[in-house]
Amino acid sequence: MSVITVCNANWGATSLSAIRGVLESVHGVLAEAFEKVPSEPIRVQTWSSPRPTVVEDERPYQVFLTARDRYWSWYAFEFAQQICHVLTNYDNCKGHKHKWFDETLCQLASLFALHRMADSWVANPPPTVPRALEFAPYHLEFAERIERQHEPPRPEGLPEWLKEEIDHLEADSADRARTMILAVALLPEFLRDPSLWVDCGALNTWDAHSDGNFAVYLDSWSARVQEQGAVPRTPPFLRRLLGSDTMGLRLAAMSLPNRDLNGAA
Amino acid sequence: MASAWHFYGREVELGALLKRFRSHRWFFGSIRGRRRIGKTDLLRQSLQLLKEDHPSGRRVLLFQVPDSTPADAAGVFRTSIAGGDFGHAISDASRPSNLPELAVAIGNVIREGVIVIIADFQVCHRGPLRGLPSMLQFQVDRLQDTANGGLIVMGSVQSKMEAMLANSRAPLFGRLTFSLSLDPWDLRTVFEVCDRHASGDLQRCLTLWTLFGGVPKYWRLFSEIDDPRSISDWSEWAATLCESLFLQPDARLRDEGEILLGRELSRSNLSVLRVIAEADMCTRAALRDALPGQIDISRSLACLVRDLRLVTRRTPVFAREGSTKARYSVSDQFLSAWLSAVLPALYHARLGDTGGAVTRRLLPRLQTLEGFAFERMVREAIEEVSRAGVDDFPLTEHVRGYWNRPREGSLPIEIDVVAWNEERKRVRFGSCKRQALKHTKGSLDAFRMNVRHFLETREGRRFRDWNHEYAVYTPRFPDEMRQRLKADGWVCQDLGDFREMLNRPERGRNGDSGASRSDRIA
Repeated sequence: MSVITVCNANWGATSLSAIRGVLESVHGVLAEAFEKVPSEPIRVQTWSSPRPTVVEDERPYQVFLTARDRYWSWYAFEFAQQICHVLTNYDNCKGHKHKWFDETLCQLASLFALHRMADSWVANPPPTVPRALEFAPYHLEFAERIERQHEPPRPEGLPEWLKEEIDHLEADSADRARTMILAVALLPEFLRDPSLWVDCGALNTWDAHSDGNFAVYLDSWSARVQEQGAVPRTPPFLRRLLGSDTMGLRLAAMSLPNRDLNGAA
Repeated sequence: MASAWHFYGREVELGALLKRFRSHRWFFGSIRGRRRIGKTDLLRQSLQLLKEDHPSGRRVLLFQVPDSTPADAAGVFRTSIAGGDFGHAISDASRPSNLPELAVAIGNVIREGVIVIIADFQVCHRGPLRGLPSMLQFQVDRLQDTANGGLIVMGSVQSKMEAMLANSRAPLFGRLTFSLSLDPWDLRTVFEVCDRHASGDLQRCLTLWTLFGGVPKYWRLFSEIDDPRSISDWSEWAATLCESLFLQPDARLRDEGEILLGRELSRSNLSVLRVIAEADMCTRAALRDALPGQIDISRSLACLVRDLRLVTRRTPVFAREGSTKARYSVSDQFLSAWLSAVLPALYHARLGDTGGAVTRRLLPRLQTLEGFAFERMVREAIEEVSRAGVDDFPLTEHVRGYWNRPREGSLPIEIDVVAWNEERKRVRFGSCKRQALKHTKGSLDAFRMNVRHFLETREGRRFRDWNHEYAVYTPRFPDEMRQRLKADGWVCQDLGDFREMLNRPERGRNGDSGASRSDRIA
């Protein structure tokens, strides 16, 4: 039985089986990349709010999409984001200030899935999606349009960019214009080495509230991956790309008061 | 070569129907909409899509009620049954021969899990079949707790359908589990169809919309005539189009207007409608001048506006409910064109006066009509992009216009578009011209003057301290003109801009009818 159930609702001019075909493609791409599948079935419903969402603390997972009709890339984009939240344990550790990184990763997952589906629909078009083979290149077109709209700084400029933006990001993790810029910056490396997704499956499995800044958060993430018996690869990669020095300085600046407070306690 | 015809638009309605068809609960629905609006096509398309979920499909029986006797209606039902796999649902002994048996037979077929669609249900409003709704009520009430099957009644005459389903004294009142009212296509769909079947030429898109509105069947007939797209001159193209569709003895739409009117209207209402169509924007005073005294204009207008919805009453922005400045226009774009432009030419054509002369006389009238249609199109487009959330000017109210009566002030004021956002205190005043070059320096100065005078009026004072934006609209702005107007602070929007906004590129490509269709839109 499929892990995904598309609920009967007004999805517009399309069949449920076609939607399910698209969503299963997304699921397949991300499950392969994360090397894991969602722990519970996923129920997908329509949603009239402007943004898709996955409900916290509900099992089976309840995903609400705004996509309609036969805009397959739109479905893929929204669903990949939500399934990434599921695979990164979104409701296991809520409300910490590094949630912007979850958002970044999940937008990255959307772009990643679209790129992969542009190929997989050629090699193996989902049988329940009419004219899937013909449609395949438009997934790439959709992704590239978003990438053009969110052009990131050159890799060497990323640490400086993050230094400028991190306060905004920590204050508003849903600032998708900013998180998408970072997602676009990360995309080439994740496309080149999809195994970078595997470590992401360990996110939100520790108490990230105590991670005073992003560098500490990356350290905690590495430690968590090691605890799970693996060698961390993604946190060190991010440290290199986003500038460990910059983050280290912030760490030094922010850690001292914390220690004082801890000591006083 | 003409492009293949697809099913266009109607996504929300398709989704609503599919949701019903996929559920395992009884339903009783109605689909209403004018003749040729695509009620049957909508059902066909939804059943086609349903097959993707249920390859064996749902069993459906289409029963087209004849405007005839009960025995004949029962006979047509028997024929419909014989055409499908429903025979076991009714034993030979109970094959219907009169109305009560017909209602029972319909109920029996539905109990077998079949969806019964009764087309032309409006004929049951009066006449020999008027008892059928009451007998169906008995069946509907007993089918409510069943798990399968459904009944859909379809009809084109709004007033009769409403009398049978929405009137609190009607037997079927309060029984509907869903109701779909099919309006003409929205402009997004019109642009899409135009792009595919009329080369995307926006000036011609306006002409076609003036003639057909958003009625799918008329566009389809246009797509099927010998390709006039190759004709580069607008006059020659429009003449060929009108001759092929309306004036030639075998033209597909030659009698359409009369059929449409014959279904809905009494003679006195028709007279009122004709005057309104001829005057385009007609006041009550103009109606009084044009019509004989024995016609009760108030009663006719009430019927045409409220009951039949064939006429729209527009008032200037912030006018009082009973304002005497109200203007009346024919709501249905096809009827408007048919009555005011096509019909006069058709009279001559019927007398054997065919060929170029008749059509040439039709064209100036068509051009005038296009001017009014363009204003309407712009108002609809502004609202549609606002609803879609894709414009920089979200509306908080419907788009209105303003006009005064010259005798009240020193100068006549006419503003085609008054659109505003209450929260942001922004108001946009717009001037619409069918041809870009008509936006001359003189007309633009006069328009600004009009707005200044409007802001002095009781109604306009409300906007005085708001941010004022001045907009000009035309089917297609030449680039140089657009740049010049923008430099002078004008908001310039043409049909191409609206088409682009409504195309919603952020949703990506529509996989509905293949990549080739999307390519054309892009």
